[in-house]
Amino acid sequence: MPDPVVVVGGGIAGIQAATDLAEMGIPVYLIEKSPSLGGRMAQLDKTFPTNDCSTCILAPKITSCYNHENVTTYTMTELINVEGEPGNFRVRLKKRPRYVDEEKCTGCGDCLDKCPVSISDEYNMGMSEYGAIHKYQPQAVPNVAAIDASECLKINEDKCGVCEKICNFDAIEYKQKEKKFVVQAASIIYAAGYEGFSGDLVSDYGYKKHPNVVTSLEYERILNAAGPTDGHVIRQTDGEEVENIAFIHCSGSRDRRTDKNYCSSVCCTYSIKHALITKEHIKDVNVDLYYMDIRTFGKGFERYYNRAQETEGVNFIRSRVSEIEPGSNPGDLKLKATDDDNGYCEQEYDMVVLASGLEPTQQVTDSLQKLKVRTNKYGFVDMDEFNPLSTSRPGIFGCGVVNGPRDIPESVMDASGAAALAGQHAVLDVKDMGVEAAGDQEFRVTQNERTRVGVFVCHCGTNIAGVIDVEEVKEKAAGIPFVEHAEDVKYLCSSDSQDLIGERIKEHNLNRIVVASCTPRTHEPLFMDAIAEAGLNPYLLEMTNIRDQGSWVHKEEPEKATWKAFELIRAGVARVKNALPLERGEVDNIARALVVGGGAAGLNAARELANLGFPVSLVEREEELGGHATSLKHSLEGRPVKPHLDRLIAEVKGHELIDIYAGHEIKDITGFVGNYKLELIPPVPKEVRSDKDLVEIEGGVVIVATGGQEFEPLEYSYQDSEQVITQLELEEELSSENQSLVRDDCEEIYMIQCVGSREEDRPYCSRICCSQALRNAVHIKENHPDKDITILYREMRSYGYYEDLYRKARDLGINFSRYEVDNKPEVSRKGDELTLKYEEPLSGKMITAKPDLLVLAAAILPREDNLTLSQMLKTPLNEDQFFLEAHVKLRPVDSATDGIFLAGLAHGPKNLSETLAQSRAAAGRAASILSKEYLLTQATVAEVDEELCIACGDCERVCAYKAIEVNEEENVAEVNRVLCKGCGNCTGVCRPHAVDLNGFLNQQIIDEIETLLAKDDSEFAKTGGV
Amino acid sequence: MNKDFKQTIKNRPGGENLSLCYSCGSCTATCPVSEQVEDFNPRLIIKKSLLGFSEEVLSGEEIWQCIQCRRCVSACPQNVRFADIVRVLRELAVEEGHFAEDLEERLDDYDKEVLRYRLEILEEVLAGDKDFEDFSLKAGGD
Repeated sequence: MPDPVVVVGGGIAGIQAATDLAEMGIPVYLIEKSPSLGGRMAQLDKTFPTNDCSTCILAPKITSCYNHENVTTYTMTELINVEGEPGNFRVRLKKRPRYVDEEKCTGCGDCLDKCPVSISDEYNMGMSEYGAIHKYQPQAVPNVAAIDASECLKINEDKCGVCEKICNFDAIEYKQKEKKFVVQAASIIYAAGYEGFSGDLVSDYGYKKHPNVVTSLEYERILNAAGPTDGHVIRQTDGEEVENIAFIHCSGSRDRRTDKNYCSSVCCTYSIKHALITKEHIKDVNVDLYYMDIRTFGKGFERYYNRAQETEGVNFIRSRVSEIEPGSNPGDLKLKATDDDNGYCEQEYDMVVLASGLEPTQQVTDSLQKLKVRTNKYGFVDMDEFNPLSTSRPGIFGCGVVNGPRDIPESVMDASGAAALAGQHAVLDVKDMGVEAAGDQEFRVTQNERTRVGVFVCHCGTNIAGVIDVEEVKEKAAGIPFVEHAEDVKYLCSSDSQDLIGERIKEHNLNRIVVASCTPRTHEPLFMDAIAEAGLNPYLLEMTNIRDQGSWVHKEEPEKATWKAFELIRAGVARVKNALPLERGEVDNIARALVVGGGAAGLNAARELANLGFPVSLVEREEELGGHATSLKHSLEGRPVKPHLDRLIAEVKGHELIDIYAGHEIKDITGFVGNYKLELIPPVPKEVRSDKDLVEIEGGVVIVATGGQEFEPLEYSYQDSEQVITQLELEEELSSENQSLVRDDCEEIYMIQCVGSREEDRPYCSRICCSQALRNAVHIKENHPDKDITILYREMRSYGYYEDLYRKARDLGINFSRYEVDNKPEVSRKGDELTLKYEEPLSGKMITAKPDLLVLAAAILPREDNLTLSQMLKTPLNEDQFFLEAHVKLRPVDSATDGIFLAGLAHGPKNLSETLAQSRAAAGRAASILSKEYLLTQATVAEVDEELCIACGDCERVCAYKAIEVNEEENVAEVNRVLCKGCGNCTGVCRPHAVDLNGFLNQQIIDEIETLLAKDDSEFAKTGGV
Repeated sequence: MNKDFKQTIKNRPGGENLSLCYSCGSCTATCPVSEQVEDFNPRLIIKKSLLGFSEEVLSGEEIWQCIQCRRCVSACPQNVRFADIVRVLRELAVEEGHFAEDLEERLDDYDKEVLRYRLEILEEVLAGDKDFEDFSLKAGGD
């Protein structure tokens, strides 16, 4: 067993890191200081740029992390200190008392309404109240209550005690004490998250003075259906629906006065999200966004911005708001700003949202310092751009916003990358790790038995029984055909109820089970385990949700709710009666990674995987390794790239676990996760090459790190003048010994940004060009102060700490002017003389210049052969021809195809440091698969009846996972059980009904529907039947 | 265009931070003069200075409209200090002969007089004898 890793912080970053490590077979202690996992992301309403419901995409990740056999979660726990060294840390922890026994509490919620005390609800940002005993959030994981000791009457004054009396599980423990304990760890991942800026950070905005000025995190809760206003956008002062709302970007960010000159990187895009969601809530609302530069630099964000610009009633105003004053009506707000590029202007609004930035909590900064981890001047982890995710202390890694402002996908990338690094200290024994095998448990043979269904109806305390007449439902259910036994239970989820189900199965020889309770999303695994324990195949279970879809939504109509519960059970019985026992299958997994591309991304991914102990085959089409990074002179922080690249190449070349195939072209790729095969063309001249020379390599995963390419501009005289070059060519110029362009008589240099980016036929931001131009301009200006440098830009996108570089550039006297996309600068050439004309928007003046050198920030393009590669890999590209990730938010390095991971420019524009971080993430994600000796298939997969199949290929066409294909030789469709996700697309289109989905057989679903539609003769005491 | 104009301003006390401006407009948005006079726009004066339109900036009357309340200084997220830059511009305008040497001094004197008048009015209003309307300058003009 490898040594454990401690992960501090149970937000999305910590959860991802813990899950990746656990999947590698490494035990994890997950430490969270609040009573529930989920972190900030759990407070968000929707996520950009897809407007996905945040909780809906996060909750399954939390649950699977929390339930993972290798993860031990400690909530309400903080780190005190760390002693020792990498491989052998002793981590001292402190668990605050919850005053509720986590083992006994079932989260039923009976106690919650009974508490006489009201305190401010932290989860809702203090905008609503809950009891001294409360659940931190409705979807808390663990689903356990907690008592706030400072407010509890019993703990403070020995009065009340009502929660103890009400609790049916004896879970209340007023006498709990703080516990201190020590765990041993090989390494530590620090993912403690961030704080939103306090609303009063910019005092001119009068946050506390004006109640209708709220912060962005508060606004997330206001938008949320489970929030303090039930999702209605209404004012705190008078409950009136908002008609006119303003968003103020950079509320505290990019501001020297607040000591936060950095850009918080996420606020522009989340404000656009707020604008669009507000429009969804209130059709006629007017939304004004006040911004300085719109920084939608992430993948897909520029399209999101364009969408907002095209939305009627959403207006972008280029102005910083100087202050907020009371408006002419009570509660209204007057904003003082400028009229875009013109002069003074004031506007009134019903509500104002401050786009507050991200900062580390003081507690985070302090504990980092206690850990002897170096922090930067803003209190974030000080990070080496060539060694991202590592901190100054060996064995401790950072991920998420502790590393600096970043969004969710970047935090998730950080997490998988940190897992790859932390895992290297845990001393994996590759042969002995994470072996997952299908359980060898033998189940009772039920095929030839008479169908005997057991129905269990849950009261869920008063949650269900308070509305639905559970006993009547039970009695009626006992009369349904095939039902052998029906029983109602107070709490089916408690552990003695699990035993009870087992006993009843044996007692009555039950062979199908219906559980009528809550949602299968959280509880199905529990009941599957319970019946498996009793020797019954776990797929002979059906759950019906009579709580969420019954008692909760039909509170006002108990009779009808009772009737509906019965109907749902009747349908459940009809469905489960023909259920078949299912088993998961096993597929061999080749413990070798295939890395395609020998640039910085591929090299780094290969190194990390080899350091984890996995063999790697690295394929590079060029003879030399290094890719684009070889032409970079200095990093964005101004440090030379070459020494680091040389060291990386040397490490990879010298690593005994890495085989390098330089100069090899890929001919074909076949296979699927666990079993990929690459066919390579070696560097043998065509004339003498034969098929025998082809090389075949096999591996369990593929990492795509094939890079991108620079756009070749057709405008600005690039094609016909040597004085017009790209930023990458400028880098090469600056790194060459004898500079031929930046010489003494070159007095005036102009740079033009967004050349080929953010245009109609290429509507994405190339992300790195602004910071690259700033870096190059600063470099030149520092060495030649007399040169006059002007940067013409559309939006200055110096996100994160690059804002400091922008300030430095201005301080050095580099000139900046904006241009509009429909009024681009004009460049003409006469002999050696360049003339540049542009209209400066603030002054409206036409400026004419004679630059000696013109540098174009050319777009980053996807490689031309991306399409060929994507077809060979059977994994899709996005609309801009970069490789598409499986999920923009939560699976940023996974491709849509299992076992294929993405890193670097192949995935989208990013700088060198981000590329290195992402390649570490790809290594971490790959390791979570490579560490398994076998891959388990799902039980609920499609199955083809060969007799009926006509090989028409319709199923192949609709399968999103490339899991079903027509075998041309046999003329039948075949299902790949590893790739099939059981979505049922194929069953829907199959005309001869040849393909069916195990666990969701057509017959079962038809039975279920017919039962629901059939006339129901049963009479209910309270005449609920309709 | 006078490319050295930017550096000339930066070399004078008060003008050092000119080029730190990122044109956000906070100065204009907070300026009580801008609120009254549409053409007075501190952000534009800074931009023109950076671009090198020295003649236009120095010969225009805008630089004399500033009342030196320094709200722009506290509103600026980059510490550009427009109120101080304006004083540098006034110096330069006088040096280049666009305005009389004593204009700044006479303007100061006049400001003091306005201030004294304001204090007198305040005293009378607070004493309860009269109200602000009694001193309305608009009324006096009719």
